[in-house]
Amino acid sequence: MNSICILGNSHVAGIYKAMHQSAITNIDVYAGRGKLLNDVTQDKQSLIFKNPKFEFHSNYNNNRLRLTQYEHIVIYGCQVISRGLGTDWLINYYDSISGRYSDSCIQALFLESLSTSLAVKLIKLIQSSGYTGKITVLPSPLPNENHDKVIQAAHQETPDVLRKVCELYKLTLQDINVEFRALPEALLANNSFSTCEKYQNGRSDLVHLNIDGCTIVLNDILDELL
Amino acid sequence: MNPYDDLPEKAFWKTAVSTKNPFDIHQLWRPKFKIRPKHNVVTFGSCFAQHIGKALKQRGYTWLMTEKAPKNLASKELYNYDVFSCRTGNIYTTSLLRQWVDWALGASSPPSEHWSKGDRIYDPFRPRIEPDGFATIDTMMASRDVTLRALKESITTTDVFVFTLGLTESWSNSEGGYEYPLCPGTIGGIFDKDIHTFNNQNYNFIKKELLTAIRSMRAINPKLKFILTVSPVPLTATKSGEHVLVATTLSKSVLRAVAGELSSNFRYIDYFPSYEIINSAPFKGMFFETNLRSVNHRGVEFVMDSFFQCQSEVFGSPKNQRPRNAKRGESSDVICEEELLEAFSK
Repeated sequence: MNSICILGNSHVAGIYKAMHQSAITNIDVYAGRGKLLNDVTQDKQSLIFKNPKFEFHSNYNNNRLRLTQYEHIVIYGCQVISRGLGTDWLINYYDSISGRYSDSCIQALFLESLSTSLAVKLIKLIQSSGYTGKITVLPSPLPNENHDKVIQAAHQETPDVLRKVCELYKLTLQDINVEFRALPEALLANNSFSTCEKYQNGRSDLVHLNIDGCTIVLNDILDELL
Repeated sequence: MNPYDDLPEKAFWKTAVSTKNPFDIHQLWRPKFKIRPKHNVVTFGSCFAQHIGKALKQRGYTWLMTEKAPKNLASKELYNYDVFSCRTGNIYTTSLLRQWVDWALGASSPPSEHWSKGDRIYDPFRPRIEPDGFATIDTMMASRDVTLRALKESITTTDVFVFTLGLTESWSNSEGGYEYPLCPGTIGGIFDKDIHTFNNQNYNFIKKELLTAIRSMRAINPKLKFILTVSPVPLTATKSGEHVLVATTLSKSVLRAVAGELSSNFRYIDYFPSYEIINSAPFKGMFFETNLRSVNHRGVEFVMDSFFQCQSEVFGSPKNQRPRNAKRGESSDVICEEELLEAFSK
């Protein structure tokens, strides 16, 4: 029985594929579409997924994910930093560097985004079950550098917004005994606020990583968490 | 036959007030100009003005916002977005209004003064604009510059400028020749009796400052119209030496007189009687909270209902006017630095 599981939305599906490619079997993976993950509750130390279309990897019986079997739960994606098509992240990024708003205000904005994320909802459910193992959050991949709004950016500078957000989230989640771990910098485009084109999952998908990108994330998980 | 014979019912106390249910007292205002949902309306002034903008928006009118919050920020009001049309904070006096207008239109420059508390920096002219102040002096000044540009945009692009007159008592820096919204040392800054001076502004001064501000604004927006109101909220504290109740009556009376005269003498200035609605005896103080100072939501609703009803009576209802969409009983905290003075009451 594996002691680690990765739980999350469509981004976890990419991890699942990378695991298959690399013949890795020592992690359990639970991946579901974001909207379906919203429909989850907690009961008797299990997460219960109401929608039977939830895609699963293993150890998932009768729509219940028994939490106590894992020493470590990794929540990946789930609206942390970038959600949906990444537009909010880009808007917040631009707002952050525009100088129109104070650092305090922008910080409040990012914290509100985190607090309303699916990841935090899952954390609360997991912790309310009495789960005593480790929880780690990995953010969603940033929108691809071919995203229209990224292309519109003509900034010569590459302000350190992402690093500040990651640090903010690390400290915030630390307060609730959750570890935050940024995605590997190797995924970033030169502009530091989007994902490099070579890790884009097809020309029309500006949100998900391809198998190479997912492998980078997976290897990072394996290096740090196992 | 006498001049009173042909006067309407509203001209007589008995028919207009004493025999009526308070909520049936109407025709309190005969608006000079039509305000429609398509018209841009900006709101500035003292605490009570905050209600006017929100009420306009709830009714589907265009409450012009020239300084917008970051998208999706839920805690907008904590950062004083969506309180007035831009983030000037409360503008309690006509001289503060004139000062802000001068800065926005380039007639003068804001001073470099800043207040410190711990390692945080506060804007003396907007002491509560950020909940924890600013990180640096430069960011404070940059933020104020954003607001000044937004204020200029408000002036140049709005159709109607609503200003609520709040106070006559003011504090100024005699060396720099500028005014603060609050006495230094109360919620920020350090009081210096040698340079910080108190002035209970008189009628002529208040009128002059207001006219100067209005003329400056109309110089760049000649079609701009003004609606003046007087805040019904009593003083939190008075430095005048009088009882605060007496000082309040003096302040409000002077402000009301100024607003009334300007409304009478200028076709583009109107006066809306929110003060009378909240404070008059017929309404028996029912629109105040238990502290007898804050206006409750019923009072705000009644005032704004009167506003729109009077507009409709004179100009007809606008097409497709939205009914008020706020939930009854919904309240939002009015941001009032002056209330913080209560912390100093013994």
